[in-house]
Amino acid sequence: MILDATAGSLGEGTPTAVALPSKLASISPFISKYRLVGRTMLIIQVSESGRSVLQKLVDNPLLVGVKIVVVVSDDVDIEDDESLLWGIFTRFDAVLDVMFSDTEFRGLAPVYSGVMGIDATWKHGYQKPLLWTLK
Amino acid sequence: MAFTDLQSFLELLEKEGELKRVTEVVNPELEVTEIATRAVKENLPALLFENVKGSQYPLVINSMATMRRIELALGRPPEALGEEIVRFMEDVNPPSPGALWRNRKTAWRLLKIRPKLTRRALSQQVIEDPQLDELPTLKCWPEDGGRFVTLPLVMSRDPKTGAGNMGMYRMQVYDQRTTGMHMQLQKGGGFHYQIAEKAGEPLEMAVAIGGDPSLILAAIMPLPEGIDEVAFSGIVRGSRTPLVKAKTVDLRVPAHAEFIFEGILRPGIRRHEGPFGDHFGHYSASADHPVFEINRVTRRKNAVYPATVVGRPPQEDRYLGDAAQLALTPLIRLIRREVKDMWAYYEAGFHNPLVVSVNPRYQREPIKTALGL
Repeated sequence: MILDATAGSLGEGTPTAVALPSKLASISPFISKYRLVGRTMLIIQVSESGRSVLQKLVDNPLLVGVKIVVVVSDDVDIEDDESLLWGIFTRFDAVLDVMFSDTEFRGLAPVYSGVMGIDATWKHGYQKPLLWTLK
Repeated sequence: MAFTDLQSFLELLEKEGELKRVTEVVNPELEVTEIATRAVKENLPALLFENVKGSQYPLVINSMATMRRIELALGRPPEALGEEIVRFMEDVNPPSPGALWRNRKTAWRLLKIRPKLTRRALSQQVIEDPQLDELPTLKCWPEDGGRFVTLPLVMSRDPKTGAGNMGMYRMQVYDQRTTGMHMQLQKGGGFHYQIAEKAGEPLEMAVAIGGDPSLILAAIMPLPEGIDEVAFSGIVRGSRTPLVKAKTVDLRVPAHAEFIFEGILRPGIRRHEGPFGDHFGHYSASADHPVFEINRVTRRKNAVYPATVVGRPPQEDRYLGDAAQLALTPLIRLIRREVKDMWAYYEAGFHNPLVVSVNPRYQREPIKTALGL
């Protein structure tokens, strides 16, 4: 998966204010914590059902200004950048675990837009995490 | 500082306060992993365990688990190595005597890359039958398939062209003289094995343990296919790599490594290998891999066994990987001039993501660059 984040690729330059639904926890009982990174990437920590929580968030029209939503498991410390990077990037498959709020077809080719969601929770069948005794 | 063996590097580390000896008995199964993990996290010195349960050999870990220790190993920061190579390449294209002279220090270093054959080899002071049980190999994580050799320099030659390869492939210990060989078959040593196997022939291999730090760094650097890692280690070291003829296989091996295993991979043989707690912080699944049969072991008289622990980042490989990319990124800038900088993240095991900053010359160039990388 290639993400083009160079300035001007969409003609947008100014960061916009982000509005989040006033009670994220009311969207799902499985949400434990959240963190907004860079005013545009929303990290959601869940105890289970990562994919369905993600689907609800990506489709939520109140998520204004958020470009990327990532759900992570509860063995990740989302306030610690080192733990967060690990908890996201060692746990998702770009083909299976990425979704978008809007899809249109131009001929045969799908074009995605809107909010991108990444299910970076640990899933059965994926590689098991190593036991960690610190923290 | 041009180290041609591990122990003189360890001596320097100790002199600089970067290595501590440990006399307490430690268990190479799981306990050393826990110690190594905490030591990296707390930026402790390298640790030389003098009493390892079940082994007469001392065990050293984390010898390159800080950027300072890597700079001591190289004799300069990794960025300086990268810049030297780039300046040389840029200046001699087009070539001119003036350009070559201005870069004579680097040119000298580049001329030093031809390995040299030597007769007196520390790595052959003792010659004996393989007895892997005597080594302090580590069982790193609870669900690992067994004990593993984690810092090997695996050397082989292309059966058709004779071109050499040196890679670092983990080796699961099966018994006194047999290990796994966790190679990808489409490149490096795995590719050599494929060629030999198609011809129904065994592949000769030699594994050096405890080569000097420049050899270790050259082995882990993602060099383009076809570049001889042993020769490249001469650039890293700034002096020619001393090699010696192996005793029972037709290969040249580091002359002053701590241990050399000489043996073969037979065609058509695979064995269940793994699981293994890997550098993504997860277990990599078990699968079938080739089998290394050791015929002869040669070693130094008072050999020291070095190992590394990989697991949930940060571990020692954070610094090895960062050093490698600091040294090689300038080369990429030279080849792809629109690339300003690139970085792979230790937090994610270096493979995903790769972040690249560009100065695009036209609108679609970032995508084109990404596809090219």
